[in-house]
Amino acid sequence: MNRWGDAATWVGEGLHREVFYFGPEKSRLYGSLYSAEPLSRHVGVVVCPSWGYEADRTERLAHRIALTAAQVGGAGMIFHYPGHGDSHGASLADATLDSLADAAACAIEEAARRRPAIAWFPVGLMIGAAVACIAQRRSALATDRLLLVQPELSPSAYFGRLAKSAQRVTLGSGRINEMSFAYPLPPKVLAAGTDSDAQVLDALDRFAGDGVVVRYANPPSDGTVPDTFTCLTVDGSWRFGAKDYPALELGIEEWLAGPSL
Amino acid sequence: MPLIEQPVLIPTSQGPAGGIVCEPEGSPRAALILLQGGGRAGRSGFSSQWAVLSRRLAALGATVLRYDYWKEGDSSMITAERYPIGTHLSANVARDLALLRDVASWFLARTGGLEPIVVGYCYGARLGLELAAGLPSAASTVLVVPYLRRIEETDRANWTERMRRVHAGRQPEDQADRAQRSAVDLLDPVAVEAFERVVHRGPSWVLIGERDAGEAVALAEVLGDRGLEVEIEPDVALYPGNEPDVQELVRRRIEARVSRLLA
Repeated sequence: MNRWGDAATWVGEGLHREVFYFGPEKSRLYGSLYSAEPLSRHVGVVVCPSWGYEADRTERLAHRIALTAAQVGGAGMIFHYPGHGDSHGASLADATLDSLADAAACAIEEAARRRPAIAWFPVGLMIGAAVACIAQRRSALATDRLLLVQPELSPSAYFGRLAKSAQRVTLGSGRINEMSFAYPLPPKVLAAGTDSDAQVLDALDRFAGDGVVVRYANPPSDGTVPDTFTCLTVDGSWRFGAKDYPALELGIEEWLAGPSL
Repeated sequence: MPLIEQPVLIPTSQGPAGGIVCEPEGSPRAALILLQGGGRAGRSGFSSQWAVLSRRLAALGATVLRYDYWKEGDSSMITAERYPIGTHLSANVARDLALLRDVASWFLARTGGLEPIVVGYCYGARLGLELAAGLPSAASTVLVVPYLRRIEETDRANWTERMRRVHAGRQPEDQADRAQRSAVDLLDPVAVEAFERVVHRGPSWVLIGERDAGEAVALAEVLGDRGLEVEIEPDVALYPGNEPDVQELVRRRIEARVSRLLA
């Protein structure tokens, strides 16, 4: 018997919080849900995190997005990828873009199961943006909307860059071909090369909904986001491994609270 | 052994703190609080280091709680303001400790008289030490590379610098600087006083690596023959602990120690 289940929810400050595991028994994923109590906007976001170290560094931002979505009357959900954070499942080293997108689609379905009155859509942080694009196509329960935050839409370029950064930080020592900042690099994604990029581009090509990008002015966009997306640029520069992203946070909050939702 | 793993939102005076309880089905034998370091990876740790360990400790027979510190992860609604890392450290520590005391009080009340064990790594070891020193009942402490310096010390090498030095096969701190000040001088009297209380109240074990800073060794000298056990793992730095081999070593050593405590 589970004697702790009663502590999985918290209600206060106009919010209802729930924390839980969901998904298949052998790879149960961690989920954390924020929703307004009562709901005044029937819109919710499922935040697709970034990867490894960067996911750790942006977890505060991820929770901030979900919390803000709830504070403006809707809902937000965080989840951890298989083998990452509090989730179970295969090691991150076994991840593919498909397995990450499957987890994101599963999270959207869990959010919809828990709050069926809400129209859910994915938000992608950094490389999580690539995951969000594919998950949005993959989940029948996701609405036709995408929010991409400081998007990294080329997995091959992203992980290639991550591997090089790790080499610099460790001064060329350590497991430079396998690890990046304490996390295993995903060999299957690296081996897939530009095939992974093509998967993302295909999902973006097929996306005909309301797409929004929030990003820093620097570095300038690499052009991978389609012109059909609304781009909200905030002051400042993206810095890998930063602890806080106040301008980005503010830009997202303004959009979540604004009339377009 | 079948395990129950349940995310929880712990009511505290500062707001809900997000935690995960993991325990064996059946009758657990201890209430264990697992405290991660102060970095951004939160309660699960880099590469789920602490999530994996909590499941192993639960399989040994403990009810294990780990939680996110102030404003991190699922403790996002903790409303008090936090100062940036590197400034107002005493104030941050006091607030982290206040939250930990609320969390521990909730956890220990629900575990109904089970023996408390406090396990901590680096900054978490420091918090755990001060928690254990103030608990109303006896507690065992298992502390890995505890942060024992004066909290406000500003000249400590930062995380990246320490990692670079360790990867280059050197000590994590500048030895010229260390030579000017003995490790005893670096010890925070608050930590020493907490240890003096803890060693009287239950088994207290500290693990450091040979390449880690030597304050724990100095602490053993200060405390003398008063029950503090310090073990030194040869030829390794256990901090920052982001290499898989080091993570697994730390997990195995903690697991073995907790296993002894539960025997």
